[in-house]
Amino acid sequence: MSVAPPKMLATLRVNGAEIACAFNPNRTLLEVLREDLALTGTKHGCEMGHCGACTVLVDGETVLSCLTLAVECVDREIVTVEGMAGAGELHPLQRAFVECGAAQCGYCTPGMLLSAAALLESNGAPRKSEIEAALAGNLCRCTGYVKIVEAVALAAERMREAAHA
Amino acid sequence: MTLLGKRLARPDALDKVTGAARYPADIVRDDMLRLKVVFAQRAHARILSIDTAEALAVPGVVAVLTARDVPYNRYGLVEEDQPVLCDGVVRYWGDKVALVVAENVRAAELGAQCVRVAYEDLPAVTDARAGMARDAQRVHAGRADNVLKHVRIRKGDVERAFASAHVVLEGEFETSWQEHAYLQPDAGVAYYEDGTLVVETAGQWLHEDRKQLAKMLGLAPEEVAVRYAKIGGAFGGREDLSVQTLLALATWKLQRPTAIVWSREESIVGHHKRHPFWIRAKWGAARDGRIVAAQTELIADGGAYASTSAEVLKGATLFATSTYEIENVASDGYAVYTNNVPSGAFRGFGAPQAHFAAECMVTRLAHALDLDPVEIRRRNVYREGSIEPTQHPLPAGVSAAAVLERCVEEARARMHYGMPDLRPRTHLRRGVGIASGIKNVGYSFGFPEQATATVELFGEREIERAIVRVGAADVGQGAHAALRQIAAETLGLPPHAVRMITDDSARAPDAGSASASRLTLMGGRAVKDAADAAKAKFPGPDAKATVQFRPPATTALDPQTTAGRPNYSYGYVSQAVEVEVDTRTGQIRILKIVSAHDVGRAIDEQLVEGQIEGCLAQAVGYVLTEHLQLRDGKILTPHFSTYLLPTTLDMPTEVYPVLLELADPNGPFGARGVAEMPLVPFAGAVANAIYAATGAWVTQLPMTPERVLAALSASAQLVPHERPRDPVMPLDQHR
Amino acid sequence: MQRLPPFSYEPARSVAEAVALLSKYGADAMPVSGGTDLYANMKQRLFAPKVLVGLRPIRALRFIAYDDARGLEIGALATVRDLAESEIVVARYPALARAASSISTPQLRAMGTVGGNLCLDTRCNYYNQNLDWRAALGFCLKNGADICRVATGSRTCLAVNASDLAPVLQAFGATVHLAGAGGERTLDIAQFFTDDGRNALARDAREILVKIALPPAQPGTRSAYRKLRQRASFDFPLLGVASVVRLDAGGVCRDARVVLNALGPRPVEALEAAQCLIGTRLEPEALAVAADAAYKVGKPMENAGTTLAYRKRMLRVFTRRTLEDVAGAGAPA
Repeated sequence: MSVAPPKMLATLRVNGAEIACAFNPNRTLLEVLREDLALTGTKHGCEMGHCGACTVLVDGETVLSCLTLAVECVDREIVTVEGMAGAGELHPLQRAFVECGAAQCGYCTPGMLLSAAALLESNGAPRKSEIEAALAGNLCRCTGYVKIVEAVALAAERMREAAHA
Repeated sequence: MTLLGKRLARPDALDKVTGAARYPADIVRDDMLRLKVVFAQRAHARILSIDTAEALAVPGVVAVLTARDVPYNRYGLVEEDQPVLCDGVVRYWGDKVALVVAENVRAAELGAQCVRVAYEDLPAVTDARAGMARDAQRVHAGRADNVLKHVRIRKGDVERAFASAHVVLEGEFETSWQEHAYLQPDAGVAYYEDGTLVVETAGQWLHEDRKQLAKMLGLAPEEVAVRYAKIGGAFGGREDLSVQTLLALATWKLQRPTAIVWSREESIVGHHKRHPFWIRAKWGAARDGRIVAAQTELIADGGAYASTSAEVLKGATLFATSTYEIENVASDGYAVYTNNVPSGAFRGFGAPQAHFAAECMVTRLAHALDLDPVEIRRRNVYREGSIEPTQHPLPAGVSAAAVLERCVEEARARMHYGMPDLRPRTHLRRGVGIASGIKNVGYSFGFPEQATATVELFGEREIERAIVRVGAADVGQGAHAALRQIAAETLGLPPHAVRMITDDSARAPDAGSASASRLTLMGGRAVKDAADAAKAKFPGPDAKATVQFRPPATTALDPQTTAGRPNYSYGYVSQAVEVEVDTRTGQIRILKIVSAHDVGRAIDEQLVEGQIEGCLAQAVGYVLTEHLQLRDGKILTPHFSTYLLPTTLDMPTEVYPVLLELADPNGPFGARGVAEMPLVPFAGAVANAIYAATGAWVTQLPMTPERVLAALSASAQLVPHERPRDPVMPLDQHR
Repeated sequence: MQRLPPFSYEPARSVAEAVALLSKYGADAMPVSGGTDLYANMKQRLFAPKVLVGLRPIRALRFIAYDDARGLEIGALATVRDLAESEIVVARYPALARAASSISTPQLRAMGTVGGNLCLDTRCNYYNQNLDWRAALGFCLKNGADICRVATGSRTCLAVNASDLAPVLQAFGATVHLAGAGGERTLDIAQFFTDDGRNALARDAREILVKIALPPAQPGTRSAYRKLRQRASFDFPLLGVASVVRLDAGGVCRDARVVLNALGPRPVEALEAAQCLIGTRLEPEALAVAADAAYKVGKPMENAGTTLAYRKRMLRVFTRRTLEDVAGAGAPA
């Protein structure tokens, strides 16, 4: 039993692309994204589910990739920060983060962006308290959250305006 | 003047929101050997033997390095007393004993588990005050005692002043460790490039890292290049070397590229912390509110190695009297070696601990004299020409009084301050606390201070673009953005026409560290002066200038008189904090914060606000939730599930940064530093607010609910003048 | 970076397949649903199962259903978020929705399952640490050594049940449905937990939890849950207090339950506290007496964040506040 289990061949759907890969079952989604698929935008902050830096979307829901097996994500839609921008255009959240100075060291930023994206997907006009609640699983050590919350509110407003236009 | 104060997008923002920004762990390649540290896992012990045979037998393990592999095995920012790998003795839990080098992570981990170290445990010093005893176990054999630094400051005659004072109060205060908790755990890579040993990590001072690494390996500084990838926060926690020595050593030894990525736990165990302090203060005031004497003893737990303890202690001892001009001062600071985790630089650098005591003492004096806490501050606050505890006038540009007044004005506008509390009396009590602070910008006490920058201009008749070379770390604070803005403003260029070369010790000159809130002032002046000098040569074939900026000299204190000029520039801050105390649970909710700062000149308002807001979150954590606990030298809280950083829901919903722009004579366009200031008075402001709300004094950090409850119980025993007349009334009711 | 130890992963597509896999691999296997607790523990080498049986593909177990006759049924794979947002739960079992929404963070509520939360491994300051840390200490009762680090005289492990849902479910009188090779069995939730933190679940290693059932909500039922924590997010409870009461049309309390958790390996029912409420109109005096009774029965140990003395003291305060919730604003069913 001490022999390592064989690698599994699988196709992962990441940011809209089908990617064939081979990994051991004990590899987390975080490890496979960063180490096998070179998608290093997803960050490791504590690897224990205590910080939110590794947040990605799986089937539209925020998931901590450090506590998710890659094998559990086969046939599911994975979105990382690298997949947020559309063709040549930033996601409104990304634009707002830039404008509001919401990224300082930037290490929590990918996770923050995806938590915010999941919020705006289900709630286009969040109150400030709802934004704070939606980001309560993402630690930031630099900004004090003020400009992050402002950026999410700004992006929501712009997305509502764009939807009306 | 078009760009100053403008809220511009940072040059790194796009990469940071798209995931393209590359932090140290993002540049690890498959062909790199992986490193794993064998930590001591005991507080104090003699190493009897290290058996690496079993580890070397693990498939994939390439080498196990120990002390004998390190050419010069002592390093440190101030004093070289820390081994890269322990030789003979381990002095704290996170001491590094061996370094396993392997072809992959798994082999490195297995190898580390197979290194057999035999120890003989030694008595451990885990309490700084006990460690000062003459007969205490020595942390470093051969030293006369465990006191690694004593700082003495004397001005006037405190004894005589106490004898004639109208009121004399004494107090004891205690603070704890704080973990930097930069979100990016320590990581990096090392490799050779054209014969140069390159170490690419995250740090705070390229050229100092290079100097220490070269010395360790017996190389000339030019044979080593330090590069910074994107840095995921630092806060002083990356001032000391952590993984850099390991990377340089392994690559140098094995002549192969290496990489290391620490877990959160390794980061918490393996790097230094903010100093715990025990402070005893005795303050006296005259009937008119003049503070006549302050006597303070400060004892800091320095941990196992010197790190920057001596410098932190100087700051703490100097700031034991906060922003007040007091005729008679006697302050004694001691930093003590223990077998706890080393203490070192952390945002505020000794000032937050000292101010906690001082700002509580001032408010207590106010109540004892039946004065408004703001009024007593007003009567004693530093003014232009005030004499520091070190017997010389403050550097010009003293704005403490203006900052205090502005803070009070904002507090009246935004808080329930200065009005009677008409809400029904329940177990929830609210109060507003005010506190002020001062903190040096730049290096102190004669430490050599300089920043160098090179500016090169291009264009036909007009300046079209520029290259700025300045070796200044952007740890997330936006230093590169601010320096670019200064260059662009000076040259009349749009920011995007200024290219910044900043992150390679071989390509950018030394601008000093990203610490002491100094880069905007120091790096900014170097960039501005170099830009001006290059402009003077333009148009011309060589429109390029390198300028070293040196501010007015500071001095060490005279060993006899303790007189000196410790600093060339200060930041001034005042804060108002409104809290709600649950008197049944002891839980504190911070409702609103006004944080007023003289920033000299805001180069970019958004960056300045970001520094204030972010620093306040660290201050909230420091005061309320962040409780690094050690027992027998062992960290009991090495995870983010037990070392608790504030989340969005733990921060007040109302945070008001207030900027005053009263120029500093040295700063570029008058700018001063701001990055550390919000942490300086915050604990005192919260303590004063809790007192205003409840009449209880909380004197320990963090202010855990059980400590608050204990303080509430004890407050019933205070002497009458120490109690607010009506505990539910805010401060101003004492007029 | 901490990584998972090697294992092989066997997804189960049905309850029968899960049970068959667990039977096949026996002690070498562990079931996993959301993984939020198990994977973190495995990274610390608290477990190193050779096989993980993945329950996530069993879609049939992700449901929340209500029927006036049968009551509420929660599939073990319903997520914590499902529970927190379920309209029927919010309306009829508000304390359960509140407890669910108090768990950890948005991400972990979306990942974690109700079954997983009930099966959380017990937690302790001396146990939830890395292998090196525990080894340096010489391990503890829960970890193969013969001494408890919390109370050296204790013969049983005192690690804490840190589930927010367990006390609420117990207060509602829930039953737990387990499936094993021999078929299904049903336990009163109180019987699902044991007194020993080493082996704190009455679940056989070859069984899986499939469903939790709650009796129908009676008219006049009110419920509340309060949790002592240091932050407003992330944290496990340092103390949890759940209460469910039923008032008759005249406002007199006819049924009451008070359950305390995060004190020891299992939730503790404060029977005397509940007795103090029955027959009253939940007047402040009655609540105070009940809170005193709860204070007496709860016995925290020095094994979670904050001090024993503080958690003990908060027992009275939090019980009182929970009871005030049911007496006042606790939404009636």
